[in-house]
Amino acid sequence: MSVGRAGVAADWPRLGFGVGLRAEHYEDVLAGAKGADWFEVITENYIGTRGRPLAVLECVRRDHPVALHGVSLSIGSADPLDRRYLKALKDLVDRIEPALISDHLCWSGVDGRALFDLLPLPLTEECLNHVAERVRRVQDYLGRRILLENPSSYLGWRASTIPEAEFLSELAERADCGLLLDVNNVYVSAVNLDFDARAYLDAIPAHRVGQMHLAGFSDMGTHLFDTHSRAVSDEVWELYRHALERIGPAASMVEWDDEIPPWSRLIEELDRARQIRDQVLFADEIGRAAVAG
Amino acid sequence: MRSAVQPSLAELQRALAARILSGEGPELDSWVCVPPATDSAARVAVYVDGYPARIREALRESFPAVAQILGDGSFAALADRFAKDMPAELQNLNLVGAALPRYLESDRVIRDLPFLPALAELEWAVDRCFHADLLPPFDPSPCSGWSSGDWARARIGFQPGLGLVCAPWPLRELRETYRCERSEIDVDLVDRHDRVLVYRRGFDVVVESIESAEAEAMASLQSGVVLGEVTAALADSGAEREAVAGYFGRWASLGLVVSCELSPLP
Ligand SMILES: [Fe+2]
Repeated sequence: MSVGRAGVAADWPRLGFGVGLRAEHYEDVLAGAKGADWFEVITENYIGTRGRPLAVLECVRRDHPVALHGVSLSIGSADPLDRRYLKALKDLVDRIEPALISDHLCWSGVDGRALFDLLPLPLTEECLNHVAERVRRVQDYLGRRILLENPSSYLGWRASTIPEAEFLSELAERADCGLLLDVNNVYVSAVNLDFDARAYLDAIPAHRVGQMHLAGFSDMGTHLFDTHSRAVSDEVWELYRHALERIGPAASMVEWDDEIPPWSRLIEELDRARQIRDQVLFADEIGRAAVAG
Repeated sequence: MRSAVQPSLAELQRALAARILSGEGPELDSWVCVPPATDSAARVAVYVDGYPARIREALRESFPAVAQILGDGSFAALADRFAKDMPAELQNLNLVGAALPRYLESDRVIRDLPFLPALAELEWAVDRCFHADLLPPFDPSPCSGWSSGDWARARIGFQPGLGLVCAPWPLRELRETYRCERSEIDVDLVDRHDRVLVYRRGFDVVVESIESAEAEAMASLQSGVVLGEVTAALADSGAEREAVAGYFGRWASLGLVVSCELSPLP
């Protein structure tokens, strides 16, 4: 398996730098506010609506690529896949023609009861087989590949036998799916579960990464919490630099879902990401030229 | 059954679900793994506390007036009770509010605030209307040759987002309380029947009070009663002919009517 460096990352759309489309910014976006190359939307907020949110999304889609990011596929649940959800997802995919479709490596309910959370999976061979088989079925149904995101974790399971990065890597191979690498989640989980975040990034196969997330966390004293309510931390920017060096310029976006700032502040975060991308790619170019010369 | 340290995927998920929903799942603690010197209960609590918090948040968004009238503490307590008893089939967080109006009918808060179920019904109607499809308005041209007998057996179809909530309380005024400070809420509840129509104008949701005869006619038509029976009932109750014609004209001009079909002859 190829382990990438900058510029190697595979056949995923290079979307540039995006933000989450949130109601608080509808007016800015409709008025043509600049700064975002693409938009990510929470899938569930556009399923079952025919009102203004969908109209805004369709309007945005006319001028920008859009990624659908789900929170209730529940890919790791012991329950059967939810056919009604999949049908609604496919209808939205057909309508919006998103550049990317993603959800999380997690489970969100069991025995027919939804728990509305991204709950941690036991990282075992049994679970890997289970999730890989379901990802293949989802992809067959949608007729295209999806990305799975590493969640923020607050606990692990004694039953787990496979490190998460290895689990994701193997999952991507077996299911032929992509990965959404949330750099903030890597950092949050690394602190909460005491593992090495850079080693985690190094174990992720670059060619499988179709998208990256950046976000802010809150320090709760006993753990870091993935709140999406503040600016990206310096530690996460550093990890992002490392991820870009290894993976190349995968589509990146900033998630800011609570205490949402004005549009201009959000774009400042994107510009910082752009700046890091430019530094990394410039260094890569110089390095290659030196080797060739 | 597997050993306590090697649960199946389903066993492990059921244990965490039981802990989240009811504080049970005793086997969970021996299955959880956290770094040394870490309080594992605090980590499990992240998920246990997250569930009611998300439901509180979703309900607060859909029911701003109910939340404002109850105040933060009482509303959070109501949401937590609701989260525990919520119907299992609610799979989308944006739709959990569907069950709140009925839940309120048997909740203790209605002892002091008996109008809350009806207010919640109105707020849910507004929420659904916002997300509803807006169909093209009814085209009357195919009906131009209908006889009066045909019109008598016509069934009227309305916009999918159209809502009608009737109650012996000033519902529209109660709904407006979400805009004011809680300490300033002062609504006279005595003898204040209200019938509130909820519909879309473009992407905006309009909430307006209507007369009782208009509400009766609309409720009957919405439930599938044919036009002839509805107009006959209105006439029996003493409604003016012009007034009744006025309702239909108004609904059509607002684009609320989307279809008019002949019911089969008996
Ligand atoms: Fe994320």
